[in-house]
Amino acid sequence: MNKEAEEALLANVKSITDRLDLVDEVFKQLRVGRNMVLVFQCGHSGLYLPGDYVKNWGRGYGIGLGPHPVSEVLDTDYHTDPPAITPEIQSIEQIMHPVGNSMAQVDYMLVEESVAKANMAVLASADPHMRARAGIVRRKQLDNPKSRLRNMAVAWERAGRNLVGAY
Amino acid sequence: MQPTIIQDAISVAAGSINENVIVSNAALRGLLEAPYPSRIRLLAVISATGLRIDATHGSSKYAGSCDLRVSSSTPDDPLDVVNDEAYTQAGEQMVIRATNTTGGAITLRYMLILEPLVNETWTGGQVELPPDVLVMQRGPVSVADATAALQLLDGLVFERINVPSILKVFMTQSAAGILRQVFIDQDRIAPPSTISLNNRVPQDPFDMTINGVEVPANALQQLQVSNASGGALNVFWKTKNQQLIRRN
Repeated sequence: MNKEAEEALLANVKSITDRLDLVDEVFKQLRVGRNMVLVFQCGHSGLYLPGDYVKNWGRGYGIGLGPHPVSEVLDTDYHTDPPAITPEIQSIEQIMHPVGNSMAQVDYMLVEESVAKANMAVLASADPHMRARAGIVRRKQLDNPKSRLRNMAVAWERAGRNLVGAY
Repeated sequence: MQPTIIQDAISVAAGSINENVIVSNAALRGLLEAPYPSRIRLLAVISATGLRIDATHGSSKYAGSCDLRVSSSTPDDPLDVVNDEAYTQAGEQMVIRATNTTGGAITLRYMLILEPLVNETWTGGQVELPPDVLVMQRGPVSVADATAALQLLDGLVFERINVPSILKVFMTQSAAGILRQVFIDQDRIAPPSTISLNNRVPQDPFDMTINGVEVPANALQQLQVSNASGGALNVFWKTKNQQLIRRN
C-alpha cells in the first residue's frame, strides 16, 4: 500500500468511528515495518552487519574466525605499542597500534534502512587486504588520547623522514 | 636444567616483513641462541588475518610460511602449537620471521619454549638429536565454485622433502562443500572426502584427516581440494612431516 492509499484509508476509518485513539495505535504499528531492515549489531563498536550475517557465516562473513558467529569489525589494541620505525618502513601510514577482530557478540535488531546504511561496517569481503578499514581505524587512533601514534610522528621526523601529507 | 620460555606480543607494521620478531624486543635479545641442546615448542596466534610466520633454528626451517589462528588472547597450549617437535643444538640462532601483507598493523602473540635435552652433567658440545617435524599451515585459501582439483601445496617449501617422512594432514573448511584427496607422486592415498567444519586454522588433533602416510624422499605431495557447492568457500590446512632421518 502506498502513502496516498494509506492516508485515504485512515481518513475513511476515522470518519466511521469515534475511537480515534485505537485507529492511531493500529496505524502506528503498521508503520513500524516501513523502511526498516533487520541487521546485526556489533556489541563492541555499535556498527551494523548485514541481516544475513549469521546465515552466511563462513561463506561471505567471518572467514577464519571460528565456527560461532561473532563480530568481524576491527578494533585497536592500545596495549601493544606500534611497530618500531626501522629503515624498511617506507611510509608513516604503515605505523599504527595493531588492529584485530573484536569478536564481540552480535545482536539481531530492526533499524531504519537509512540508519543501517549510514552505520554499516566495512566487511572483510569488500576489503580483503584491510586497506580501507586500516585507514578508518588509524584516523580513530590519532584522535584517541591513549594512542602513541602522534609521538611516533616525532620519531619519524627525527629519523629524517618526510612527514608532509602523513596526516 | 630448567626450560627457557620466551613469550611476547609484538605488532608488525602494515605491508612489511619483520626478519626476526625476537630481536625486535630488546629484553629478549639475550635469548636469541639456544643455551643448550633442546626441543623447540612454538605456539602463536594473530589478531587479524593476513600475518604469516616462518621459523628456523640455525639454518633449518621447521615451520614454513604458516598462517595462524585469529585470537585476541595469548596462544592456547596445546591448541595453538605450530610445531613442538623440532630439535636444536646449543648455540643455534632462533628466528621467527613475520610477514604482514595487509594495510594495517597486526599483533603476533607467540611463545617459544626450549626444553633442555641434557642434564647438569652436560659439558657443552653437540649431542645426538631426533629428526625435526616440518610444518606448514595455511588458510583461509579461497576455493572458487566448480573447482575440480586445486593443488594446495603447489610451490611451497615442504612440497618435496629430501628425506623419507611420515605425513599427517589436518584440514577444516569455512562452510560445508569442500572435498579433499591426497596423492603421493601418482598414488592416490585418500579418495575425495569431506573435512571438519571449524572455520579456522586446523588444530591438532581435532582436525586430523590423514595420518601415517609414508612419503619417500623427494616424492611429490599433493593435497587437492574440490568445491561443487555453488559458491566460493575457504579451506584451512596443516601438514606435519615427521622426517625419518636427521639432515644435520
